[in-house]
Amino acid sequence: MNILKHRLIDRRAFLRGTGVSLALPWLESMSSLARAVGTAGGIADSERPKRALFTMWGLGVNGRDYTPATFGRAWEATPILKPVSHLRDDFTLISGLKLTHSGGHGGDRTFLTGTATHKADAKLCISADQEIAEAIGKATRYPSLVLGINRGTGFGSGTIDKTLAWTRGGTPIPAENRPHILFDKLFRAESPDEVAARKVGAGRTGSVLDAVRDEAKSLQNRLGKDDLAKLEEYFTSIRDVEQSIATDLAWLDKPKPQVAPLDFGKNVQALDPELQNKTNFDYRRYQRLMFDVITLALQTDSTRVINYYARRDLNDGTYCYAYKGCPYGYHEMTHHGEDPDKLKWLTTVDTWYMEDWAYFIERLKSVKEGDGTLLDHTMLVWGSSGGTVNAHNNTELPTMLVGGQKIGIKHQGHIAKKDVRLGNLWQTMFGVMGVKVPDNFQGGEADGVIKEIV
Amino acid sequence: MRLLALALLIVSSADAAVAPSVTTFFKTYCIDCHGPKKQKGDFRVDELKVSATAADAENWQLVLDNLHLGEMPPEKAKQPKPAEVEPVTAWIQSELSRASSVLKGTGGEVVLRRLNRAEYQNTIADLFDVQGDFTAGFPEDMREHGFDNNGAALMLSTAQIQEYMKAADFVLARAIAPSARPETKSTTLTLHDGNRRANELARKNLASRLAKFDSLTPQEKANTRKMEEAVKANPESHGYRFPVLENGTLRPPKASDGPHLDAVMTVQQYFSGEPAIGFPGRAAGWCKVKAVAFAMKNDGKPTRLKFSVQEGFSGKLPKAVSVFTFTDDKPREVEASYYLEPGDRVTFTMMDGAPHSQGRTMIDQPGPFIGIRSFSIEGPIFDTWPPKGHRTLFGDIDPANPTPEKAAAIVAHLAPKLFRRPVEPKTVTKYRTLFEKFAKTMTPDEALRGMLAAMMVSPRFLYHEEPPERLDAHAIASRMSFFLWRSTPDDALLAAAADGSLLDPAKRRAQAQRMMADARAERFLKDFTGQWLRVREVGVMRADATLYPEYDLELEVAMRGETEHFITEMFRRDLPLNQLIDSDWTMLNQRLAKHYGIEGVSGPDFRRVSLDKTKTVRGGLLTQASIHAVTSNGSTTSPVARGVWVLEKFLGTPAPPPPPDVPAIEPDIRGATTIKEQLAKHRDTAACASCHRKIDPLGFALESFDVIGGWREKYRALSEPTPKARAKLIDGQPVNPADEWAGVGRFSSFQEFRELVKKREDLVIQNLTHKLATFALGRQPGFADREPLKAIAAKSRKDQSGMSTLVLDLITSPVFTQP
Repeated sequence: MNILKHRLIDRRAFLRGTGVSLALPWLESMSSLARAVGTAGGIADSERPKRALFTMWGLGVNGRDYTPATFGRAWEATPILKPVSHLRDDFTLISGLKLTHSGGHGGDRTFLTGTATHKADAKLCISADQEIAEAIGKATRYPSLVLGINRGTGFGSGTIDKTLAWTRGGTPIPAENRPHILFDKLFRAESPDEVAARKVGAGRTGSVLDAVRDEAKSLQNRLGKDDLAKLEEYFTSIRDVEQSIATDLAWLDKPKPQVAPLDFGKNVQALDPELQNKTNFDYRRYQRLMFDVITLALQTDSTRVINYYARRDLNDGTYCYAYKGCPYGYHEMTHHGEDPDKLKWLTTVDTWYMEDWAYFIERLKSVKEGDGTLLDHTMLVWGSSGGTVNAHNNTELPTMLVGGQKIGIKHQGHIAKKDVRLGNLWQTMFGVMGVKVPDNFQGGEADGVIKEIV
Repeated sequence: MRLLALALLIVSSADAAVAPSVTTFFKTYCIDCHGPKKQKGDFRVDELKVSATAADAENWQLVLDNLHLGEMPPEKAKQPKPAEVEPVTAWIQSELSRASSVLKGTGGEVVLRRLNRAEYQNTIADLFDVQGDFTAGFPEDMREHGFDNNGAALMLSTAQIQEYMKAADFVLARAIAPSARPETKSTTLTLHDGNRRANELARKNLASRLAKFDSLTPQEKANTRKMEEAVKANPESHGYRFPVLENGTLRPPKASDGPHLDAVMTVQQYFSGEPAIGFPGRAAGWCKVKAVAFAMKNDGKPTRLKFSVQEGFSGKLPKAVSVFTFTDDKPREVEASYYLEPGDRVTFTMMDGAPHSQGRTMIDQPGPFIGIRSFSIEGPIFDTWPPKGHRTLFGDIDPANPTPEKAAAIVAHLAPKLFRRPVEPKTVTKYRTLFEKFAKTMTPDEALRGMLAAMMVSPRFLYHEEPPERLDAHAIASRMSFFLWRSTPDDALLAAAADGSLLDPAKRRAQAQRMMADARAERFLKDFTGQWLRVREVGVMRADATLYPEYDLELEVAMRGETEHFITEMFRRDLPLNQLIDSDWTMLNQRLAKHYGIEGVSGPDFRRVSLDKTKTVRGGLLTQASIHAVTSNGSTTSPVARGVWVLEKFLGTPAPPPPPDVPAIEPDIRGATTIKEQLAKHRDTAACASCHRKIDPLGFALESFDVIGGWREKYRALSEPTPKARAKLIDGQPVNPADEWAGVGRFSSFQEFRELVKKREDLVIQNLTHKLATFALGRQPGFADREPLKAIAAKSRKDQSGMSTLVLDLITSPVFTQP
């Protein structure tokens, strides 16, 4: 009934994605660590956790040099896939998935929510990672980690977010982008004074919240019916803050897992994409450190759900390997208009991104866990909301599911799922995680599982 | 049988008799496409109900609008005669008037809205005089109906509440004054000071190198020796930084050097590190930064000096920037005020001229230069003591050693300002109790801060409190100030609320006039313009550097500037609104004038420039580069995006959203096909045609403007690159802007199209009225608001009055005081 409605329309938004990378031979110490950290979260073999990591590669990849022509396990490696070809038993390439609502530049918001959330009249929905975190997050110190190449939520432009994670209330969750800060949050032991101060702070916050809740209640009597529904958000938010304080307090006296320090270098500013620029940002080093910290977070069972908006291409968030010589921004290259130089570079940087992703896969694979590896107990997925080069469409989305073989994933090489909803992949992952598929999942944009891989 | 069902439905659900002519009309002209068989556009006439709900009324309004605009039935379908249409529209009209009297106000749309980020930040600045990036971590505010202050879209989240708590502590830490007034300090830096400082550093550096000489690398050793030689040759210079003698040169003055060589420091785009001056005080506050400067070797061309406020050595974007232009060699003092935090620095750079080469005497290089006699910084400066924020918090109460009684007095003083309305005694008691609770475990000072922080996350501060039936004077005051100032009411406005005078439209008008004249109204103009026309998105999709090598940051800023200044000028002078369509003037600075090929504009400041219409196409919003930029993707223009912009933003008659699953066009800039040829396919497809016939022509009309708003006869394209050479810019296909605007007329050029738009001046004015109302009310105007808004727009058109009259008419209209 809204065809003719006078509404503002964000007309064909576009996509965005997640990125990746990899490889300092950093933690040989990893295997010896594994024992130390393996018990840090209190994991017994019998209750080996299942984990899921969702990552988006901004505007996708150059499909012409990415998508293999052949299907099945023996797919023929393309230039972009060459860096991961030797790991092919550990992943499945899924071609042909689609998003119904939006994609393209604005597809970030649709990626994990399924809904047309960049549209002005859209009701914003919870993202799939947060639904899993709601179900299983209590078991870990951090119910989920929300990460991105840029910090915060994004503001102002209406087309560009910095996060892929959305609460049940439909509000964005800010992303963290600094590996050293993340490491600190996860592993730095707090002094008794800090712990005491946090407890006092929690007490103060609790009292403030009590007082303002009281205010909101008296406000209730003076508002109209429709306003009350809106005020409910206020009550919900207060309750959520109280709950997160309670979670925080519950873990406060439990020591954080101990891990060997990572080498973030002397100049940590170099690791903050917000403080760097095209010419000096060493994306590869940054990205691999992020993957190192993520590996540790999963290994120590500090969290089981990670949402990582690794590439924010529309705004050139990664600076697109400019320091390695790429003369273009990623977005610029996707609108190559058949310019061969741009197409050449597009494939080159896509291959570099894939090398960094290979690093990550190998990192997880190098960590022993039970009779398998950390990778076997973790599903990594990268995807994009943009499927076509030279325009950003919401069909033919390049997608790769990695790992999870000990928790129920059966890798198939390269499969075609033309016109199947991306939400079906999320639904498949819910099944593997043992999380009930919620009502109105993805706003209806999921209607089954991808049977071949489970 | 279907047709019968339709008739029954209409009749049975009606509480008024449906004129038989209406039923017959629907059966004849509408039901085939909008009925049980097909539901084009997801719209069915057989489901229309005659009831007094907002949703039904909206749907009937759509039918009416489409009949009025002649958009339905579509061209290819059987067309009704005017005599058949007339009774139908008359009947719908009368039913709608009836519904309208029932459906006052919002028609159920949410009205409770919180302050958005900009409103929060402005409110804090106005109440407490605290600046900073304390809102940086706030989640994004969603936009609805084109604006980010829509109550329904402004969600509150856990993260946001946590950010509010952090922000409250940040603000209080800065607003509460220390017991003793911080000393206002001043630092002045002259050439000699800079030189001395640089030489001092160089001397230390050399000494430390010599001390560990044996451990240096051969290269370092060689460099150190070189430095030593340089110092021997010229003990004053140390070969470094500001390599000048007291007279400003490395050599004795020559007649050709020009004046002022005594004590001149030239700032250049220095190879490393510009002159900078540190924050002098220990407490955050306003500082005055001055420079005495002049232009040198500039051949009379404007030469610009930039002050940038940097947060320490963070490398972040500057917090604030000011630019000053010098054209002659008469030293002149320029100054700017910044709110600085400890650790902030102000750096000085020259924006014109070539980079300085190390080791060369500046004065011997070609210009232009800026000569600087001195920089100075003074602060923190307090207009009053205690400062403003402290007085807002405590009034005349001394907050030292707070007791419960004192805390209660502070709440009684602060709450009416913070909550924007009087508070009852029980509110005071509530916060006093909180203070007492805190005081059990904290010091009295901490307890007081805790209490104040709680007030700053109270829903009464964060939300606009509006009574459900009818707005009271205080709610009107808030609505006015958040509309016109994007911030909290001031004391005068609160007083006008307290004595009830805001309930009187005439007095409301007088207050509004006062507010519009205030500097804070700039926030409204900028915020409204940026969102209404989307010009705040300029730069989100940067122009492709290969295709548009002339694009730079300065142009980007100037594009946005033109539109903002244009709307401001329209507003300040109340110029007739038809000038939005075409005008014989615009607002330009040098960079933009150059871009437009208009001569005689120099300097970075915007000013009103009369346009010779025989020589330039510019004039009116549709010719402004900002608009062309936000409707492009950086490499190509899209007639679809532009058509949608014209329909939504300019005419207020949006097209329906595209159906899902439709691929976007993949442009090819090798120059083989034009966008017109590509889109033609689109328009030949029946599913696309009905909307794209409406959208595309309006976009094609703007095809003569390129991605960055330049005029073009041909598209830009890129040549095939060779192994040796990158792709080069070449001329592509010619641009063809000709098309037909359905129902209005054919055009063969942009200029002809603009003449057609003048015929639909009514739509442009109605649209602006509607957009202003949406922004003012923080919600989409309800159904009942439609007629009064139309009347306001009609009056504006008849009187040839402008935007400020429109704003005043809106504020004094009953629409403004509906919940």
